[in-house]
Amino acid sequence: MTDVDRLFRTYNTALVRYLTRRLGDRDWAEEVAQETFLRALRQESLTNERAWLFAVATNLVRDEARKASRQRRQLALLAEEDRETSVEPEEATLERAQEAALARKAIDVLAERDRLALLMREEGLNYSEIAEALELSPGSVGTTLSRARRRLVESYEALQKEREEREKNAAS
Amino acid sequence: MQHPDEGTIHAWLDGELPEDQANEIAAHANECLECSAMVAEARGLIAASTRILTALDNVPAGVIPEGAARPPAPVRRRRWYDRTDIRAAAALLIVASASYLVVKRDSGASRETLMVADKVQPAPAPLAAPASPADKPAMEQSVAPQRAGNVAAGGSAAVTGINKAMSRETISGREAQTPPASRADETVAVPDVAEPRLAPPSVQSSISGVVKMTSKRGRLGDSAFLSEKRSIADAARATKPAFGVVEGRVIDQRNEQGLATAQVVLPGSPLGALTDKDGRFSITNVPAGEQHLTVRRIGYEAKDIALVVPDDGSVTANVVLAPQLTTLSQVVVTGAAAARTASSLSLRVKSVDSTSATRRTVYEISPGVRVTLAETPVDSSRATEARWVAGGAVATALGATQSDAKVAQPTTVAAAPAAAINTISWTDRGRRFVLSGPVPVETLQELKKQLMQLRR
Repeated sequence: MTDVDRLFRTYNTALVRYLTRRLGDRDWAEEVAQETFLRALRQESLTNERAWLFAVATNLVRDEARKASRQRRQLALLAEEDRETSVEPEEATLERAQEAALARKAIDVLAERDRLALLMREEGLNYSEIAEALELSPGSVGTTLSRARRRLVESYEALQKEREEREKNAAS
Repeated sequence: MQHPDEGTIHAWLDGELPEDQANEIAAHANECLECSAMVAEARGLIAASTRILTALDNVPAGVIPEGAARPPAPVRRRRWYDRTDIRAAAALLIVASASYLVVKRDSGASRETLMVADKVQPAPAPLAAPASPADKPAMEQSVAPQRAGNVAAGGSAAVTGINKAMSRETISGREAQTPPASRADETVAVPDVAEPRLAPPSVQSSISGVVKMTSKRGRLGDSAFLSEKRSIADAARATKPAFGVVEGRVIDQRNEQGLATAQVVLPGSPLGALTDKDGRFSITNVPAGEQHLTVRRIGYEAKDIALVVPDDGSVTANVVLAPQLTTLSQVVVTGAAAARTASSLSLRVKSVDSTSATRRTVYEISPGVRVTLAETPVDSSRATEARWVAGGAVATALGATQSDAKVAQPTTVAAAPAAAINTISWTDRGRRFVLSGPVPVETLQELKKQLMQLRR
């Protein structure tokens, strides 16, 4: 078994989830993850492999994001056509979709670095790995995470409250 | 020591502080009311963040159009063979047909039977990841030309036969005819070579391994070949780490409503979740296969259920919890009990802390007016004294643990209008109660009556 096999097996799940949470698109996340592993293939050796993988994936996302803005218009057109032929996923109930949308909005409020640090932590990266991947000082990771968590929870709760009030108004 | 900042507390809770520093903070948080409140808050933030982020995993999937009528996309189209599971299935199929060849040849089969092996039906072998409905058309399309007839040996049977067949070949070291295998080479090699960029590395390597194997087959008769083959079979099996999702809902047997804050855990693992206000939960990264789930909630009978977690899929577990009658007598107020209070004073529960021997419940009897009920087993030596400070029910029970102090957050109670705090206490069935609040003693007596009614 080559080293990339091992890397893929060990980190693919976490990396794809991290990217899905970051990008909100599973297919896109899988593509970026694959690209990341292919880059790992070209490396002679990796000293801190998990930090390296997450850092490369993050950079790829940034590059992709630039391309994405150009392609967005085309995609909007395609989406229109797609809508006619696509099938609705069964398990995504309205409620859960709303929750996901709320969570998405809440995490969008965070600063990019805070968001990435939090998502990496959720995938089990330790502080030194996060510091390396994001080029932070190891001592500031705790502060970054505490700020990110507080911000996330507070904005989520605010959005939730807002929604509840809207629903109440709509009901009355 | 000086108070740790929020970042340090998070680092501590994340287990990222060196031991000496961690011990220092643990000791400090135990003594400092303010810091223990911060620690409690940080814990809450960490748990809530994880829960919110888990909701992000709920992205729509399976929106790939059915049928081939897709507009030509300027954006690269995802092809069926980009799918990891299809690739895994293909790799397995190749391994299966190759080994089938070996078996057949060994038993002195003619060339004709060898050719048949290529037509092994892609009936989803138990080991192959099941293809989702959306993939089926593509899959059938690709295999259809090859599918001529049924072969006696199914894909899985052939796979299990690999090792046996291989060792036989190793011993015999017989010359092999290469032609039958060449077809198998084509089927995978083509998509792989066409777009190598897209192949998930492990599959890529296992496929190329198979290709290598089939071409080498005639020449190799040593044990290296055996181990190579074996590792290929393993690789094909483990292409994806086998994880699934367990989700579902915990329901109260009495009213069939969702049950919030129930603990759902997989015993023996760090995995688990708390249910949300509708009783829903979702646990990701659960190793596929048979798992046990334990659902607990205070006041309810714990429940153990067995389930099978699919690889890369999810399993739904809806659990109905029955009220636990034996503990109900000890629990002062549960949600359902609160609903039964119909007399003059409302007993709205603001907060409950039952993490230590002393159970504290804060009730809001009218807006802004809160009374606190502390309940301790009489024989408990831990809380021999409770002192109540005017202006807020800040408890400094002797020997109180960190969680004891946590409830009486000055911020919560100090906001109440400063009034004389009255306290009454009594003992009932082996438990000592202390009720206090900024209300007349008569009101406290009335509340006591209500509370005692609830207990019966």
